[in-house]
Amino acid sequence: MRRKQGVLLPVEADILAAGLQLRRSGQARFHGFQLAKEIADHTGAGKLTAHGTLYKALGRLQDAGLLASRWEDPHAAAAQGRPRRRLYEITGAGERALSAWRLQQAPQQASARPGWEPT
Amino acid sequence: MTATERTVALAARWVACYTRRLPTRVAQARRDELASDLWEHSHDTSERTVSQLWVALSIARRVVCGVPADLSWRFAQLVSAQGGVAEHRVLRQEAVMTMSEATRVWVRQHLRTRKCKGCSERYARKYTYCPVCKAAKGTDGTRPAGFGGWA
Repeated sequence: MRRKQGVLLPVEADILAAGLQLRRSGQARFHGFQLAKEIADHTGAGKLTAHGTLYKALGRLQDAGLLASRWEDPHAAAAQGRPRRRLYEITGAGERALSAWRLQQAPQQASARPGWEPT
Repeated sequence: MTATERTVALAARWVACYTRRLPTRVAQARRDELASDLWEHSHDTSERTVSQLWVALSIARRVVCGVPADLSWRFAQLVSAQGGVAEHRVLRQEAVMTMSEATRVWVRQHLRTRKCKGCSERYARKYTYCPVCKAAKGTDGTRPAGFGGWA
């Protein structure tokens, strides 16, 4: 069964919310593991999102234009002795999609998903 | 090799497995992204304070829980790479390839090893006796009458 165009899944909304939270804390660009940690911290789940779930959702969000990404300079990463990161940032469309999702989910979110504060 | 390093190596092998036969650019991007994630996770100071085993288990959980999404992502990439090909044909190709690879691995394993009649362990055919129970090739490990001892 295919999902309706323009509808966010809970994991996608969590990613966008975590991205906005990171941006508010001064990190406009973030990598996958940072997102997984931010989601785990704020949803209260305590467990990091699975690799497959996270990167598949990131790909979908990017295809939909809600996220943009670029690869880090490999020399900068090599200088720090680690693999290069793929850095994501939330687009304007991503912010609007999250706001719309929150409006739709507001009644359920108040009871079931207390972790994220709407802005 | 620590538990974390072993889990990271296993996770990398799984990524290599489900990205095989995908377009190079897509496969490489996924491998690089996961290599970065695994590195960040294994070097994360907040989890390191707990224990290496905890980090290893956390990585393993993320790999295992992500398997269905990994497989559906692979299927979507195969469908998009073979633009215009019906999904059921791609699925059939995948099933045939997976079956043939599994058969190849199984046949190779069974051609290179034999099962010991004495202890039921498998051991390489190059040995003339079982390295576990020392039974000679083709015997069940019972000593023939007048046999002085194992070499």
